[in-house]
Amino acid sequence: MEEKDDLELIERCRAGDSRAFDLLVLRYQHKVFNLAYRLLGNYEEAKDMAQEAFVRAFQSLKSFRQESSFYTWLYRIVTNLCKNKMRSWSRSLKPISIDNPIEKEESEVSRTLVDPNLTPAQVLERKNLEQEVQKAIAGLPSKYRLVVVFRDMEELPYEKIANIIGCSVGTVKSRLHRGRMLLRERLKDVMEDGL
Amino acid sequence: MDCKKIQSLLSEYLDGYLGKDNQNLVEEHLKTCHLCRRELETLQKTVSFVHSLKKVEAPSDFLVGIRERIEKEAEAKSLWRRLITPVWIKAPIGTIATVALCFLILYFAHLLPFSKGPLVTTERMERRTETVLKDEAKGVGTLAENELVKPELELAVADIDEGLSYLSRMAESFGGHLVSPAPAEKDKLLAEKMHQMVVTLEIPSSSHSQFLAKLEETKSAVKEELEKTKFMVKEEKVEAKTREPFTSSPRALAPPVSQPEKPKFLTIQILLIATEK
Repeated sequence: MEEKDDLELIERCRAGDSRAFDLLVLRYQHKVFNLAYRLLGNYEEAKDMAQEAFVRAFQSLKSFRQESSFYTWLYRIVTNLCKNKMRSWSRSLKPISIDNPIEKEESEVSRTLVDPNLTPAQVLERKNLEQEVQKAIAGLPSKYRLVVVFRDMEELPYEKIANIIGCSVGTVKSRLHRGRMLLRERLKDVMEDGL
Repeated sequence: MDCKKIQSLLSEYLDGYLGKDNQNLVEEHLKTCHLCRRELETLQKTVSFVHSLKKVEAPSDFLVGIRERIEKEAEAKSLWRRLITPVWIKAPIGTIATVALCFLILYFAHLLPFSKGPLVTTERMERRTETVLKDEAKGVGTLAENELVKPELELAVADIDEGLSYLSRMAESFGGHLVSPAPAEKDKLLAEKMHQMVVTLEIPSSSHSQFLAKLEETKSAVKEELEKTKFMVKEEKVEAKTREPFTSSPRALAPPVSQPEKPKFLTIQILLIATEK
């Protein structure tokens, strides 16, 4: 149903209805932004890349062939942008926010911790856990980070991950296994603390 | 099956992606292997940690930012089009190619003075500069032998000495004077019975044009005389000569010669040519 709606909006965009593209943005902005944020671990960079992904999608809408869903296509665009960004960081030896992974930390927490039943201690505990996990994810080599985020956060099927990243399902399986092992290693202390 | 093999399948097992056979193998192994069960637990916990991360929402100005970017890029693209299109797209390529071909043909047919003109000019300029420097070094207006690109004036006369005297007197009547040849040099040159002599005069700039007018009259008179006496005026080109045109010469690098604030004189060079008597 959602895909059908997407196609209808895309047709309206192609016909020059800019409002239709706004609706597409509003439909996918949180998913795309969250993905960029989890891949990059940096709020401003994530915003920049996610917005750029929508701009590129808008500009390439005419060439969108509907071979995959709009959502998959959009994910592919933002993923490639984030991959390039991560590559440029590794080339320039810029640290990938491992020690200080969550910029705009407060605003994020205020957005995500919406459960009013948590006690202050639980809020702190939750915050610490999120920081540790985000830090561990940010520390993964990008090829493992991608599959871990797509599978364990976005819960995408292997086939779709392979389609977005542009590799085989076998590669997704092996990278996911390796990525999870590395992540478990990094989160060993957290698990032992019983957080 | 050994633990290593089982552990390599745990990730897929967790996701339910194992085939029936492998799934049974893993489950059978886990029943008896505490180590592999522990592996599976920690793996499950790791996945649940990642899964528990809350979704981060896009900032409230997200859509506005996208609209701004799209508009900005559209503006840049339209400006780019306006700059480039008239030249590269609107002009038919065939027309451009034809025009280019015509120029190429003309160039090789030497119909356009692409290469020769400037070279000759440069050469002449150099020769002219050289001549003047040489003349100045000698202090005498010896011949430029028609090497001057723009001879100030060539005047055919029956007798060099007579012509020189006439010009000298005429210069003085206009407040000017003879610069060269100097009297001693004049005698020497006359003794050599040369057929040509460069005469340099200095005429006040205020009366320069009248002087030239008078020269014109003289030439006409001489021309009339020529009809009878076979004198001839060879060429008439008059130029108020100043040193400014030679700024590219090495002299230009030397400190400027101090020139007192007296009435400004313009230098005129006249080539006297003795015709056959």
